Amino acid sequence: MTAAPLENAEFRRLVETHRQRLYRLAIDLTGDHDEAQDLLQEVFVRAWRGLDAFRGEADAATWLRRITVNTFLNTRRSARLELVRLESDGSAPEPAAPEPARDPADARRIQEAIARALDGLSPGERTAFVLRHYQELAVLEVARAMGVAEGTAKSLLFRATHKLAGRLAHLQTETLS
Amino acid sequence: MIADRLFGEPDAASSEALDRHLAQCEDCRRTLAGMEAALGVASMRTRPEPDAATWASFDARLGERLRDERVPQRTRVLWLRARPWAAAVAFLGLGLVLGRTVLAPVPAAPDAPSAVQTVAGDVLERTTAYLDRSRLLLLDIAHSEGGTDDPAALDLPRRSRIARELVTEAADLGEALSAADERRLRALVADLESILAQLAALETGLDLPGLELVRSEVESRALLFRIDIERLRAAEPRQTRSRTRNDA
Repeated sequence: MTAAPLENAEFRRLVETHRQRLYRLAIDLTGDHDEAQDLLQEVFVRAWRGLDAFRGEADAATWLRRITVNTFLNTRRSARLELVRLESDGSAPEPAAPEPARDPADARRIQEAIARALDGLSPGERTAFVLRHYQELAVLEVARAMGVAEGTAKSLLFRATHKLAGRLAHLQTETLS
Repeated sequence: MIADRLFGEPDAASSEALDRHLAQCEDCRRTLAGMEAALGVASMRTRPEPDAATWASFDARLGERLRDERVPQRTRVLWLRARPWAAAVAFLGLGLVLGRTVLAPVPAAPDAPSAVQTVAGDVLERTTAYLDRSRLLLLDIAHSEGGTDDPAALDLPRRSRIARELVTEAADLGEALSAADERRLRALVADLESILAQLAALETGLDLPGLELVRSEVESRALLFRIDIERLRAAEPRQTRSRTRNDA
């Protein structure tokens, strides 16, 4: 009789060692606690299924990060597919217009403004930005985690930052001066 | 070069070249300053940190989800190694199944197709036409100039429009293929639908990174190769096809 996955010492150690760090990545990518937890559940299910393939690899953190990024991008692709279908029906909801933070000194409003600005990025732009800026990976590592060329990762980063500059401009002068 | 400056990996020569350019170009100075300031604001973001109770609930949910999962592959292989008789029985069974399906004599073709075959034939014809259109679009994307500076040469709005039409068609086709039990074709159409949706959703400007992601996905899923295989299969006699359609 084989032990349940969480009673498997190797898998249990993998979950406990990496879940906190992966949660940070998941919430950076999704921007939502519940969605981040769902993403993380899916990541560990996939990790369990692929545990055998991983055993020969040295770096569990890189492996799990790559699963997280792929799972996130695949989920967003499915969501985008639904949106395209809705648009084809002529019933697509209008995207919500970003609300300016009326009081830049209000920390909560600043957090909301940053969250809205990040939500305005495409999944690829957001992933590249999060990996570089919040997870502090080198551009080459960003490219590897996303499975794209380094030049593409740079382009995504440039576009993401350029969009954020436009969307956060109303905060920049007042907050940083 | 601005990206290199912002993301901390410039070489000395390109850094000097950027400084020389910035000294003369007010627009680029403003762009760089705006982006640096945006990075500063973005750094003020905070995240919630889950507490012990959250992780306990997370573990319980994960345990529930994994309860019915099988053991990873290598463990099963080791189990077979430990029990040679089990491996022998498994291979014998596999041989019997292959012998009865792949090596069985092909029955003679009926004079006229049945109603079920006619419906399936219609779906296959629609699918072949669909695959042909998708193939042309993907070839067009694969061979377009990624480094072009001319948005008109890429004509993304036209490609996005075609992709949107194909996504709409894929939904109907997928249902018909499921009904006809064409599982492999259904999987291919579903993969195409996902890629075409990305293409349809590209921004109308010069979205080269988005296009590069689509190209990379087309390559990683071997879509053009799989379409070519299905086009070859479509040329096979129907009896052979019905035996092999859901292999793989």
